[in-house]
Amino acid sequence: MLTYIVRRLGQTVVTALFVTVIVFSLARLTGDPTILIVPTEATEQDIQFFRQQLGLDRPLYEQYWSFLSNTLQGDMGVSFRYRVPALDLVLDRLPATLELAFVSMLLATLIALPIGVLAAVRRGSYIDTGTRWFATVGQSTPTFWLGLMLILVFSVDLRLFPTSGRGTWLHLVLPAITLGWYSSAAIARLTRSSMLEVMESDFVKFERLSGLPERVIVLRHALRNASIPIITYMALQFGVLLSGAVVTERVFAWPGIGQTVVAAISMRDYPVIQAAVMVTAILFLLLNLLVDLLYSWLDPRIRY
Amino acid sequence: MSLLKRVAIAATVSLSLAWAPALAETHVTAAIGIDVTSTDPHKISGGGEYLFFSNVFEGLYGHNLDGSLAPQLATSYTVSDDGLVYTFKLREGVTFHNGEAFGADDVRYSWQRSNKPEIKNPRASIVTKKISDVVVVDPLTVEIHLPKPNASMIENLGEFFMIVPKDYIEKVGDDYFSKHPVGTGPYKFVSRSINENIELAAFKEHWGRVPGVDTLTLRIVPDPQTRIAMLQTGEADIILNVPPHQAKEVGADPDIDVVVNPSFQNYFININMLPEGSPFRDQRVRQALNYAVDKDTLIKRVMFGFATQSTAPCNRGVIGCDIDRKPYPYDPEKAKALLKEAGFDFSKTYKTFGLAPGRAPQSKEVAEATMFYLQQVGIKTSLEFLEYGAWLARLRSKDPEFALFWQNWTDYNADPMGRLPRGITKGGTYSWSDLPEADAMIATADSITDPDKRRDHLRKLFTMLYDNPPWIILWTTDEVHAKRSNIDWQPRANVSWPVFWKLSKH
Repeated sequence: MLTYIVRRLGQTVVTALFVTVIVFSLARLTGDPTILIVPTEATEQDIQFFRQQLGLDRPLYEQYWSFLSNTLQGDMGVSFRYRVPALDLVLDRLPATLELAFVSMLLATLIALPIGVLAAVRRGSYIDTGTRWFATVGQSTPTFWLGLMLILVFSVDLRLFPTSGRGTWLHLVLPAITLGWYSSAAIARLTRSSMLEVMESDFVKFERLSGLPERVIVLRHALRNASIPIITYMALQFGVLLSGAVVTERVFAWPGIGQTVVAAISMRDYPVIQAAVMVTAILFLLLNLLVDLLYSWLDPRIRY
Repeated sequence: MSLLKRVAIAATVSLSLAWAPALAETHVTAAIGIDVTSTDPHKISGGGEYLFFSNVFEGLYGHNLDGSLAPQLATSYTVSDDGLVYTFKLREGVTFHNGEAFGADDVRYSWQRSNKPEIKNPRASIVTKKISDVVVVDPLTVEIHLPKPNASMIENLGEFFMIVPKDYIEKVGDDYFSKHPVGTGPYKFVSRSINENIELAAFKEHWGRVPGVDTLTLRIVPDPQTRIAMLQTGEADIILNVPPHQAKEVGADPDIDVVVNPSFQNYFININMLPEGSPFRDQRVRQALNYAVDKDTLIKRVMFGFATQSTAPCNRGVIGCDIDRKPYPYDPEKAKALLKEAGFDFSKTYKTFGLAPGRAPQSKEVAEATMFYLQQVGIKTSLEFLEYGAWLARLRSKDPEFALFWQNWTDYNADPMGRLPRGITKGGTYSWSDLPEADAMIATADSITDPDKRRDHLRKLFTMLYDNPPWIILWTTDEVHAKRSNIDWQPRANVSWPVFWKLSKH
């Protein structure tokens, strides 16, 4: 067990290093930031001066090396645009994104698990048809369209929830539904197929023969066996939610990382792009590490 | 007065205060599309910033709601005969938001700070770097000394020379001031959360423009559809930048008014005159392009009526723009005749580029429609769209591959000299023109200190630029905002960002 943990930790560190290279290159692929920072009145000298100030005139490997060594010390540079430390800006926005992702996940699970289980148990019924329909439609709904529709119906017409911003739990409802919609459909579909597989298995047939009540069979035994792929998928989905919040955050003016990254990319604000992607990537890596360790603890056979 | 009596009076007074109905605070929320990048008036990097700065800071002179030049922290000025010394009488009894008194020392200090290298002021070159000294004559008189005449300075003081409090900054330092700005404007800064909101409060001790509300929140809501929904539910009292094609639908609500504000945003199709042997160096070809495009129809169909056709290549309301000519009429036959006369090569496909949607209203549609009109007179073009950063880079690169492209520029105020040297003069940052006669007139415009003579000079210049057009001249756009009908609000005309000075709620 201990060697496994050490090995997985090592893998995580190597991946994180690899991520720094990708993040650094991606930020620079967006183009030259100086002309967006200086006003249109700026002369070529002004632009050169700013390039020097920002260290953009140095060779790429030098820039990468200082980026890496500063990052290891927790310094991710100063935002070109806002002139505040980039990491502070991102960490300041992180709670809003985490909150939204977490609530969306919870909502998606609470909706998806019961309907997925029901669809499997009542195979072929109208519940099953409804679930499959929901899974197909839900996975193909564009996020921005869903978000705007929810605003039009529940905020503008019914006046139930605020249109945008962050504050009370009421502010959370619509963005969480919007963000969790796809995951919910996907988890419902997966739950249904895993459950069906388990319900067909020999041990469920044996339990039926031994006269256990159906409710006990489904909830105690079948669901437990069906849950491993579901948990794996949910962990992956949580990562998707962290990054998938971009559109939802824009529509609902939710002050999270997603909005900040979009603004930073359009303005070529390298330090902020780097800090935001690094923070998200590291969260994702830690989440994966946690899930793996949890599995190996649950089921000692899973060690790879 | 006996002690007892005094106690009794004090008691009644405090009782009556306690029982007086508390006056309700009026609060207004305005939803805006993009955040300001800085709250330090010496770190302004783009037009959008003025949404904040014009409400919190002031210059010696500035612009009224109708766009006219007006005294702010000064009351009057005189100019020496050689145009090198401006003497300002300052307004008495003005205080900064923190209670500190404003005086001549602050003017000198603001000039010094604006030019400090460590402040990295992106706009110091426009006014403050062109000043050689600011002399404190007495607490309410300053002299501004110039190395050479600069007739456009007065118009630009409000936007590029904002006054900051000397004692406060010396006490708290530049960094702290950047995050906790203190000015003299109608609103005080309260707090800010980047990409979320900016909280302002009315400055009740302002010398002449106390807003009719107590507090104002600027909320950053990037999606225009969401801003519209906020206005419909009443979460926002004012929203900025309604997409032109939705203005009618939004205004149909009886509780909502659409606010149309004439802006200083100039739309045009720039013509590359730089490459040797380019057909576009011929004056007749550039005139033909102006005859070929039906501006009336474009304004109606593409801009939904929210634009004013330009005559000369300048924004209406700009000094000297009122020339004695009619806009180029739509006359495709005349365009074809002129092109033939000039021996234009119709066999080639000319490369053009536009700006992707999202930054300026209808930029993509305008570029597409213009190219369609050029096709109608036989000019073949290829068109590609670039996002803002890439578009800006190509604009500065002056790539000889490209013949035409969509462009816009915004004048910050009625003085055209902020833009002309950069936009028209050959070699200017974003000029693709080559018109030596016009260049000579631009070069001398700022040495004419007499305002009337200078206006005539600029009028002559714009007439010349009408006859020998550097661009396909299009129009000045109108800004489209919207508000709840219980809000009284007047933005500011002819300045590209609205102000909230005149604002009340009932």
